[in-house]
Amino acid sequence: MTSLYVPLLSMSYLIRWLHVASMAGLVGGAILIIALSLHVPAHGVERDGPLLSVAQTYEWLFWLAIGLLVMTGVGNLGAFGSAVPAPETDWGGKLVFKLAAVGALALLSIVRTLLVVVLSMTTLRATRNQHTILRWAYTSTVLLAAAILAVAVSLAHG
Amino acid sequence: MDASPRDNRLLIWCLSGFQTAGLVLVLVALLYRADELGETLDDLNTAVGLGLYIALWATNWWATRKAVEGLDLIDPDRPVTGIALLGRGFLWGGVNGILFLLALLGPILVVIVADGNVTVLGMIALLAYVLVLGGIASFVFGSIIGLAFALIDWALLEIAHALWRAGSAGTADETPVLANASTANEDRPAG
Repeated sequence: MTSLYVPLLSMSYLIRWLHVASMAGLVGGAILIIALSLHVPAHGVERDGPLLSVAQTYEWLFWLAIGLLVMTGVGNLGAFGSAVPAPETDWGGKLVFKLAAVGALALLSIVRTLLVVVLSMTTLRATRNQHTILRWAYTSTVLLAAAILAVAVSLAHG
Repeated sequence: MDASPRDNRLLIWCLSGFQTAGLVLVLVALLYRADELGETLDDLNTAVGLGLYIALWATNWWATRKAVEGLDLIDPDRPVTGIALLGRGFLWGGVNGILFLLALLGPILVVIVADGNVTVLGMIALLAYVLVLGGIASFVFGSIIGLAFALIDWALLEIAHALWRAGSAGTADETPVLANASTANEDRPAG
């Protein structure tokens, strides 16, 4: 039993846990919103206030997750110390790709978050086209996050 | 169409989160490409690193809040006041630089004082020297970064507004399918 507690209390374990948990939340939340948006009733049978509330909450948590991901990502790199593989290696190439992809995700997400903020304005309603644009924004988020995840697994396990 | 305080808070949270993460990502990428990342991180304790990130995030959040105060960046039918955003990005980026320097120096100075090897006069002189020189450098560095991010933020805001307007163009016959909860009960279709 003691051997279980020791890894749980170590800083490196906590950093990795936070990193993976943040990514899981980021991806899972976006998938949830896409799934919910597919059930938005067509043709004004019901206005979907709950979907907007969920989207707003997601956006708050998304940027918290991005901060945690970057913070803990640097922490994970720190665990390598000076043994981190050189940028010219395959591993190095994947890391550079991952960093660029996370940057791209952050750029895309500013646009997505702002679309949610605009939608939140009290006098605006989304048209079907705007709803589709927002759904595509969340879909792009999931696709880009999935690519980052694939590279991350490759970095961790070869 | 005025945005609610909650909308502005989300916008500020988003911009400050993006700027902090973006800056650190760029620094890490540059250090890594220069093959100096490992050595740099070796010298940095994990807890200190996390503390520095959180400090940067906090100062960035506060500075971003001041920078966008009074600007309407949300209404898609109003042009983004880009020049104002750039000017404020420059100014508050510089302020952010100074704030981060203070956050960085604070713990170091506390340790020096606690060590007891410096007199009060010596401490004041050291503080003045570091704050003046460091403050100027931090302001300049912070202003350049603030300006760069303000430019990026402006571009992304314009893209979001353009997407929103494109979605509403030529859709007069379309039935809106989403609304803010406060308008949820307005003009329900009959039957």
